[in-house]
Amino acid sequence: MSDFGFIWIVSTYAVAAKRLHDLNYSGLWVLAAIAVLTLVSLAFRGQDQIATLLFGAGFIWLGMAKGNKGANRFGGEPPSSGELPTIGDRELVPQ
Amino acid sequence: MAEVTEQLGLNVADHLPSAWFAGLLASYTYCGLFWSVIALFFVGIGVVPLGIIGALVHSDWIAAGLLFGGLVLTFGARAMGAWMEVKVESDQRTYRPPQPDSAAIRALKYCFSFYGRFNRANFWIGYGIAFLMTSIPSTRQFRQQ
Repeated sequence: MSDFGFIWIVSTYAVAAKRLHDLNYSGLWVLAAIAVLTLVSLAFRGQDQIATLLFGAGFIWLGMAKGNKGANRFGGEPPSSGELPTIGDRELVPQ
Repeated sequence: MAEVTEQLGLNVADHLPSAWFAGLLASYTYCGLFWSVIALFFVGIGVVPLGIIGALVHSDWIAAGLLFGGLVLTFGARAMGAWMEVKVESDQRTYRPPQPDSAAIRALKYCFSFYGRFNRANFWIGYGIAFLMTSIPSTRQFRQQ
């Protein structure tokens, strides 16, 4: 695996984990999803579209599901979609 | 940290009078009154080394060890205090207030932090940045061609 592949996998995992936190789930569920996808790929060898479809469905669900209102065990509510994303209490892009 | 240092200093400083008194007793016991008085003229603490020598001569290893330990603790505490003073001065000289992160570092933290929450927009932006990272090697290939 190339360095960029590794960076991509880690950053994707981090983004998915933070999204799961917004849904009040532990970020470790990403590992469970990876395990399921691996098992499905092994079970349906030669039929990659099944694992791809599952991955796509999970990805779209992560991107569309509505997060918890207010604070949960993983922190406060992130700013609304119209605002700039923040890291802690600071904006990603400085004004 | 200051409180811990203070407490440590107080604890260790307690050994100074103990070592001195034990030294006085040892020197009086093993060397007699005359030599103990003479030893007191050596900055008041000559009784400690004299007590150690007297204890060693009379094979009182425990007393000699305790006196030596007290001496080491006393001067060790002084040396440590001096070292801390120098270090604090040096730290104060070289102290730099924490600087705000650059935009690149913020972007990295945004993508690679495993803590906090992302709403839907954050997810797509974050995944977009992650996806852009995959285009870096292909851009390099394109340049090479």
